[in-house]
Amino acid sequence: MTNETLNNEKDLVIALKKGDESAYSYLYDHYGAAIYGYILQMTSDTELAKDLLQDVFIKVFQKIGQYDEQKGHLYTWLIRVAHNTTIDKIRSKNYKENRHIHAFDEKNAGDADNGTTTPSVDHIGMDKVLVSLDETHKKVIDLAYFHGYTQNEIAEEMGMPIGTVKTQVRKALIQLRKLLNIV
Amino acid sequence: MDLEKYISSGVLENYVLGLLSEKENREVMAMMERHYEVASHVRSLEESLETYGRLYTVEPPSELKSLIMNQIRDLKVKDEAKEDKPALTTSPAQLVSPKVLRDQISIWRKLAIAGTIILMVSIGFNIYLSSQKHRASQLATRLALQNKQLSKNTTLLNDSLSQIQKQVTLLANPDIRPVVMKGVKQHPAFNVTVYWNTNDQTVYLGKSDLPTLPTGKVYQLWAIVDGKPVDLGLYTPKKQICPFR
Repeated sequence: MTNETLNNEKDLVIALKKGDESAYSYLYDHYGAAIYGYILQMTSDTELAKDLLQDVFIKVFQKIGQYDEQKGHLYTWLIRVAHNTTIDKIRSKNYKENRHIHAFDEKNAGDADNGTTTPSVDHIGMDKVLVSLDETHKKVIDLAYFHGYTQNEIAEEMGMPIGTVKTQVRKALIQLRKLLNIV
Repeated sequence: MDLEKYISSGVLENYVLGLLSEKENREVMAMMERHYEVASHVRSLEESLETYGRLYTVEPPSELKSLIMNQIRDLKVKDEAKEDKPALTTSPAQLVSPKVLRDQISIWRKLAIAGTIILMVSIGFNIYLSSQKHRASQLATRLALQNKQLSKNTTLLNDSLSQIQKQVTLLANPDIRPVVMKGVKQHPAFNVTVYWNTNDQTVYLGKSDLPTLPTGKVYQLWAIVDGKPVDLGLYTPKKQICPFR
């Protein structure tokens, strides 16, 4: 299968489900960096992120049959796989003992340094989005998106009632969408 | 329910960020299925997060791609091997699906039954062959004995025939004079014919019914010539015609 025919996400998914090697090559070229960046945001550990990226692609190969395009974008699904794989790894006893790195759901995982790592953005103008995003909004999004915090955990972390968290989440996404010009 | 109010309630933003409980998630999914506007809004929110996530894109180390592609190739080969021969690749018994296991058992059972039948037929056939061989060997021995007996008989008959021929020749000779010798007083029933060739003075004893002699004894033929006995020779029985001289 050539890259031209993989332009369509639907075709890509069909090829991935067939186990087409070139489809996985295409997937890596187009989604690998985003997944790797996501894992790096979660772990802040390059070596671990490298291992995890391999694990994620293996899981994608094994579980692509479960992906239902009616229920969401491929990217969203890939990020969910990456998220779960990373959480599993961080929470695994073995990893904790060897690396002494704390899972995101432990209290110190929410420190400003850990929760809001500044990305290495190479998209022109995109760094503006991040700079312009209200600090509280960014933190709410990052804690939920990159670290899988629950509403309770965000409330505790940011010292605000749960009701406020819910409204802050909405406000954060509205601001993000405005900055990204998706309204 | 007012759809616009629902969409602007903030529940969908919390949904795309994974902040809802399982129950709430199911409610949102049900709403998405029922209302296109809700589904469309959720898709749009997901796209925003996707774009946001992509801001953090980091190129992975270059060697990672070939590592990953190799692993995927390996997985694919394993998957294909599994599809080709499921019974062989899943060697532990508990991994074999019950149907495959049952099929295997039934194949082995069939093979065992077939093997037993073949073995029994083979044993039976061997016993039959062995008895046949034994019978043939007995027959061969019997035939050999018969053959020996027949050849013995043939020799006897030949001897007998040659004796008779000699006798016929003897009787046809005009020089021969038969002399009947009557039994003495003690044996009046016994007679012996002697054939005397007057030309060459040879005497032949014809077929006689002389009594059987005790072991170690022989008959002797005497002639009385000019009042004196003359020995004409000894006779050992069993020879039908024997020249005394």
